[in-house]
Amino acid sequence: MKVFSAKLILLFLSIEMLLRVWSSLVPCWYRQAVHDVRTDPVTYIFIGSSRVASSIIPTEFTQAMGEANSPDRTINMGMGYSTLVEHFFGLRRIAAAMPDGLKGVTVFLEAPEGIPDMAIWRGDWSFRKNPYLLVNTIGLSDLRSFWARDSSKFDLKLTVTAGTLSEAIANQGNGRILVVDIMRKIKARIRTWTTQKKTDLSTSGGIRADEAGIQNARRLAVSLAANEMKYARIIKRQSADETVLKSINDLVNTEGGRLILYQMPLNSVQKQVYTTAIFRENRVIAHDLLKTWAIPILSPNMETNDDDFPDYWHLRKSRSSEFTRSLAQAYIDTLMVSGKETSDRE
Amino acid sequence: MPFNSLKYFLFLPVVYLVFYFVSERARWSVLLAASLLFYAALNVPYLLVVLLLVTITTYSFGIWLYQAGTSKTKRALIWGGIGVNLLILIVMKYLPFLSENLKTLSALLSLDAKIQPVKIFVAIGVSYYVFQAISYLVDIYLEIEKPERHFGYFALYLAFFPKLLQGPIERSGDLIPQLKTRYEFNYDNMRFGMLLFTWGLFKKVVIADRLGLYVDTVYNDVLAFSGLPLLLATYAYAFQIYMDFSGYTDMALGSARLFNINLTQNFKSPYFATSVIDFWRRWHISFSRWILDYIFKPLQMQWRNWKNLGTAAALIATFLVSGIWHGASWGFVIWGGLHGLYMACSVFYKPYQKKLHKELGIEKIRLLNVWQIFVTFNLVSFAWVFFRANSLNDAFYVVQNLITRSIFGGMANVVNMLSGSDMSLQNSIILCVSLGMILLAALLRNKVRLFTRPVWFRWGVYFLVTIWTLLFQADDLANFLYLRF
Repeated sequence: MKVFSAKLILLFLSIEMLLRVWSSLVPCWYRQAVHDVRTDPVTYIFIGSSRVASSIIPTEFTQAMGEANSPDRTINMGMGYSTLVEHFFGLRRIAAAMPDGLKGVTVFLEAPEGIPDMAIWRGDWSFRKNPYLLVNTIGLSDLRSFWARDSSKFDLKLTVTAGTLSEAIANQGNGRILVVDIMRKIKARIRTWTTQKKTDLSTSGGIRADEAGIQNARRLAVSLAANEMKYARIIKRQSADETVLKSINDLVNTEGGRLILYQMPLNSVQKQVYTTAIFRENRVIAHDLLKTWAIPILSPNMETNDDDFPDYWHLRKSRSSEFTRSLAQAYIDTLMVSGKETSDRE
Repeated sequence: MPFNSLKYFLFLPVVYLVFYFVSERARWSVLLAASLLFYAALNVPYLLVVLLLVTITTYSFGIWLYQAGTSKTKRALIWGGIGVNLLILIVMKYLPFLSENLKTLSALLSLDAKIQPVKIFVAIGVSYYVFQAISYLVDIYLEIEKPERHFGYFALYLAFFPKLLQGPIERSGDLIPQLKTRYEFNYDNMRFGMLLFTWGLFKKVVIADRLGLYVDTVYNDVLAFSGLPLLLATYAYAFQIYMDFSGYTDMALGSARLFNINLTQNFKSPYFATSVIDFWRRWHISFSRWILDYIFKPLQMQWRNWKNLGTAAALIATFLVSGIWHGASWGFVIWGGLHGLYMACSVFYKPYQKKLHKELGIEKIRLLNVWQIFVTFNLVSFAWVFFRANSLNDAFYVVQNLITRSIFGGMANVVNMLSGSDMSLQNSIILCVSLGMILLAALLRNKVRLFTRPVWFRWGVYFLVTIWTLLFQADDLANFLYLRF
């Protein structure tokens, strides 16, 4: 029994070590961003859902914001099925990795129809279907708070805890990343026999651009919109201080940066949700709170219609550049013209 | 809790350690408590009540049966015991199906029967331990076995967690003596058990779940496809269900082996069967033995005067029951009926077929073997259409559109599906490599006896299988999520 146990422990430790090496060579999402900012700091960070991933082109934003050869850098951390909690921990990691924290950094967060995500800490810290995004950003010291405040089921909490402790758990399924890397490198040499029309949709942030994926996404958009209209609740002003948004704002400000929200264009399926009385009320409450917290909200000057959202969720690729530039312009017009932002950055 | 969950990966070693360190007399209670906890982890409280009910009823009937004086009393008791168990099974699994069909029938007959909708119960594991209970009672009735007097061991026989949810369906004569045998640490059993578990996990999470992505794309929207995609999805389902079920069985057998318990081997390369009868000797072996011993043989005996017709009728009846056992829907009934029909036909043509092969001198030719395997696989796959389709309408659509004239149009659809997105293409690549590993293992199994190989080879295999399973398990969220892209 002792010999067997020793061999078993040795086997598991070897696998764990191998996967720790793997994870350091092939980091994902925020871990990759943290790895990069150590040597190449950022100026603009976009956080949010896959809508952010598809609509913002980092290089375009940097160009639109600065002069040629500007040292500024933009990163897009938008990810499908991500939560604000995950972005909070991710930003904290980035701040810790950069020499001056988030000094001079602007963090952008989407706010569809002017209403940001008002999730509170005593809610779900990750999406049930993918706790590994939380594993990617949370630290060991956060586990106590996680068990106390997260409202997910035991299974999910166990998965996140195990993933935080073990790379073997955290890396489940990550072999796909290596395969996709290899595929993309040789793809140019493979003759494509597909007759499928290429859809005008980015695959960033986990977005599916194939026909079946698009149909799935559309069905999901319709059902989620129906649910949101049915179960919508008024934002509680008294819970404002418990929101993750406030924590992100405090973190970014403390580290010397600035949080800015911006209007995210929506398809009519999702827009209809915001025309209800509850959401109109929520818009008023949200704007009051944003004023109190001194978080500006930008309105990019760009018209969209339903054709611009092939899967009802994400802006099509051919308009991303235009949206990115219009957002940059809105930023310049609203905040930099007043000189306020300029002096902050200096 | 499913075998491929983190909870189970923590549960199993904890149970083993407690089992190992307690005294021999307490070991059965550790396993029983663990089994009840395992069942309770499904979060369906009434299932524990059902298990308790089946356990107490069967235990009591078993003792009464053994003590019964007259054959009349024995007959009454055996039918009573079977009846109670079947009633529990029907209530848990078939009431909504029966009520739905009664409603349809009353509408067809223009009757105004007000049939209330019946609540659907979760019935995970019930079919398995009810069948075990029935086999236990029948074996006592036939005086093959004596009843188990120790209630704890009997309860453990029904509830033993590795086989509780999906079998194998164990006979009391096979399992109870093993549960009572004194436990001594066995290095080979531990090693084999863990490797078998890992191999089963690999089959389930890397191959079966990944095949499921393609199968679901087609079968959840059959009207959008015709020809080759339907055909390939049907074949893919044949492998998906095999990998899923045999993977689960391997995990069950591997888990049990840690406790020195040898459960019944449930699969023996079923898609290498040369006839449908042979297929059922290799597929879900514990179940096919059960229906052979407790349904087919009694019916065949009862209808022996009808000779071949009696055997054919017994086969059809047996496999209709098999279909119903699998699920409460007409699709399952048709699936079972098809298998019954295949075997019923073979009763009549087999003697002539053998004679023909002998006269042609081809009975020992390898090509004949290959042809028979090909035909059997296709017959079985055809039946799987009814098993998998979401409704009878879908099943009939698939059957009508499996073969179309436009094979190249179908080819384009398949290529689009397999390579139309990065997700599809990388899944296809991982699937091909993984299936290659399975094929290699099957071909080399007898030539390469793993445990006799040098340590570097063995550890290399352990590493490869574990790392591959960890890194390449399918995740339905993979449809929507790349961490890096």
